[in-house]
Amino acid sequence: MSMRGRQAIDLRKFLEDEESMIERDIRREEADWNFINSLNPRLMWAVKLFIERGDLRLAQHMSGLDLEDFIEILRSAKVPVFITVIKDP
Amino acid sequence: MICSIDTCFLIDWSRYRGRDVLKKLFDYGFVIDEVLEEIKSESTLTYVSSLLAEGFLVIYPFKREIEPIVRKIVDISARDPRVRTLDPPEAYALAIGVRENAVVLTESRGVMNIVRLYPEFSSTVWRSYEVLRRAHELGFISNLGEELDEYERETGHRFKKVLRR
Amino acid sequence: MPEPTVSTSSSANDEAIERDIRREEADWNFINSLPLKLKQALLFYIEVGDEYKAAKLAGLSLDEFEELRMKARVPKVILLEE
Repeated sequence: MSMRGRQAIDLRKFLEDEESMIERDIRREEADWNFINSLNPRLMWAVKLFIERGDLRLAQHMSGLDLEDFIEILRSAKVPVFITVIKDP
Repeated sequence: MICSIDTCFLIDWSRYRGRDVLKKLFDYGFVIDEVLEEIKSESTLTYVSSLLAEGFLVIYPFKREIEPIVRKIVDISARDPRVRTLDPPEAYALAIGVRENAVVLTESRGVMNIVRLYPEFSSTVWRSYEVLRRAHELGFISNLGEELDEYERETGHRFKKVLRR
Repeated sequence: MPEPTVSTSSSANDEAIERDIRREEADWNFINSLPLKLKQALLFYIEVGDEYKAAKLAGLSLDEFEELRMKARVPKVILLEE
């Protein structure tokens, strides 16, 4: 079958490792959704993006805030900013 | 042993009361000026000021020389969806780690994934967990589990144990 | 604009003398009124005397930091060998 005109899809973006899923679940569970939904739209979506993707820099840029200011928003929203999954043993 | 530190690590670590253990593990740490420019909260500023004053933190003097490495890192971060976004502080921290054979101190998954997926950027990368574990191995921390709990309480960081499959 | 303060000293505590002079002559009302980052950078400079690092901490160029230092009346202390 000719691939002319078709764009290759980078399937790697659909791979998600176990750690990322665990981290996302923790962020989702601990988040203060009432607070998050009360934020202005730009901030709200930045926080939700961080909760789902865990990409701090991407979410920070979306928020338009400096890094520490964005981290303060996350803390106010009770979203854990840094999570380390420890594989035992 | 020397380290190369990014902003995220400093922001997290500065809230930990036992943070001085870092100076027992490393002779000094490199940072770039962008890291200093990014920090603005009281806890991070006072901590970084004290490290600068003591001469533990050293502003990396060879930034221009490592720009080719940084470019490759940023390119990978943009192209490879498995690697999270890296800003200059993280990219330079990794490049310095590669160039100077320094331990990279970061909380960035992007840095960890690049090191894992691209052998040309092979480098030792430690998060706060690995720093605390090393401090425990060397006897500076008596009970690692309790220290991790304390770290969680003081910084809001989360440590989640899972069984290795 | 504060003039550079010149002291003569052959003591091994040059750094302590320099720090004391910076502390004494600084305009603390002005310094305490500044935003946290600039205030912290000036405090660092007063204690350590390193304008390069202080400028980086403040997120300013050296020239800009010099201006701030002068506004805060923090002298550049030069100790002369006798």
